[in-house]
Amino acid sequence: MIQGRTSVKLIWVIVLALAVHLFLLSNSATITAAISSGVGWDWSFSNSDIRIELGYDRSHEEAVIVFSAVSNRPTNVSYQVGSIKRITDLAGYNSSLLVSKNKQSFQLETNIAVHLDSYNPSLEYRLRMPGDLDLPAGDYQVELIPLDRNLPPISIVLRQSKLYELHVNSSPIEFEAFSGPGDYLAKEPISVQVKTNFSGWRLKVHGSPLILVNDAQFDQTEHIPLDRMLVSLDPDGNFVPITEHGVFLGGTQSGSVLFTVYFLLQSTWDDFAGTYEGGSVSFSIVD
Amino acid sequence: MKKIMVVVLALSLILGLGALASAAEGSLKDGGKVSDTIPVKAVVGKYALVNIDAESINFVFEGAATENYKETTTVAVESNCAINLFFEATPLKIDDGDWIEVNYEFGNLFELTTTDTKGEKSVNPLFTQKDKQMYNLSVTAKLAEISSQSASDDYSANITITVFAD
Repeated sequence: MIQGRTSVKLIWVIVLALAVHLFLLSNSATITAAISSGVGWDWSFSNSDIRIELGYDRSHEEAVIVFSAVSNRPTNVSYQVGSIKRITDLAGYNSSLLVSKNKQSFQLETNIAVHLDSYNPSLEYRLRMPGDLDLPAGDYQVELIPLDRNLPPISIVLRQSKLYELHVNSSPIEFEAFSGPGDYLAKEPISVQVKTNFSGWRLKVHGSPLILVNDAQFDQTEHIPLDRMLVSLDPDGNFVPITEHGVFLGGTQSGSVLFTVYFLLQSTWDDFAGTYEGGSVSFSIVD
Repeated sequence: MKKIMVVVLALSLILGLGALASAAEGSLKDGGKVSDTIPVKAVVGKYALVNIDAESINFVFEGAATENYKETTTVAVESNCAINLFFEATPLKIDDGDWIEVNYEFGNLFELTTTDTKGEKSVNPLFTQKDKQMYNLSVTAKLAEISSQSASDDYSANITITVFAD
């Protein structure tokens, strides 16, 4: 009977211990989720002073590292950005990472210094590859090297997204059709400088039609249809009409390319004499 | 006589446009697209065409009194703007001053007769906006008395059709 009561007490103690443990686990998970929702956790480390958790967003373009104090003692941790290697070819790059402590403003950093205390028992850092066109798109292995030998290096995989810059250097495209129906080259070609960190892109151009200015005398808006504005990369080459959905210029491109784009207007008797405006030409990069 | 007169009318538009440089940049992830747009402008000049179908209109008279003949040709007029028309015909005459009366009918727009001086007619406006029309130009030459005009192969006249914009 006494043994039976002892057994029941023992069972209650075990149940209570499990309940406390489950509560703690649950609580811990809740805190983590509150810090970094939408993050898939990938790696963790803990010792008597600190717990480090590593996770990623869905695109793997952002790593999330949460440093949490385990004890009440103030803790300082410092990691340096070590090697950055592209996984596909192991090409190494000297670069810093974009680091944010507040999920919003990112700064280029080569060092991550963490100070945990009772006011900040847990800090979250978000890391991204720098928006540097010299870093080809792809996945990179980044080593974070601890200054404290008791801590492990943190190996993260970050994805550099496909980036590009597109510069259009020109005055507006201008046509002067003073000699009747015919073909008229634009007064100046357009220079389009494209810088990318990836291959397999194409330059696309699309536009909107020209509209006759001050045509209040007419019932309908007079315009020059878009298909009578043509484009080519060769002034003596084959010009193709610009369509509403756009046309591709040239073939598949790699890296950075400078284009000289020529435009041609086909004027017909259908065109009222006058000044046409409101037209536009847009360039875009299509992957 | 065939005349093709292409009249390009004065149009001066000065576009004060400064150099522009624009840029766009972005990521292409998740099908993202970033584009850069520049404006397009065009000036279409006032332009017109006049085409008289016949290269020349020839009359051969026996010399009889009141003998007359009628020839007809077509005149095509096309423009991309409002235009006026000016018709001028020199007298059908020879150097010593003898002349033959000529009557011109320009479609149903006007009628004009020349004797020993040139004749002029204006149609203002011919078109109120861009248009293309074909007109019949009927030319009737008529002798007076037998002795009114010397026998000669050298009677000649010129017809000039001019279109112009305001």
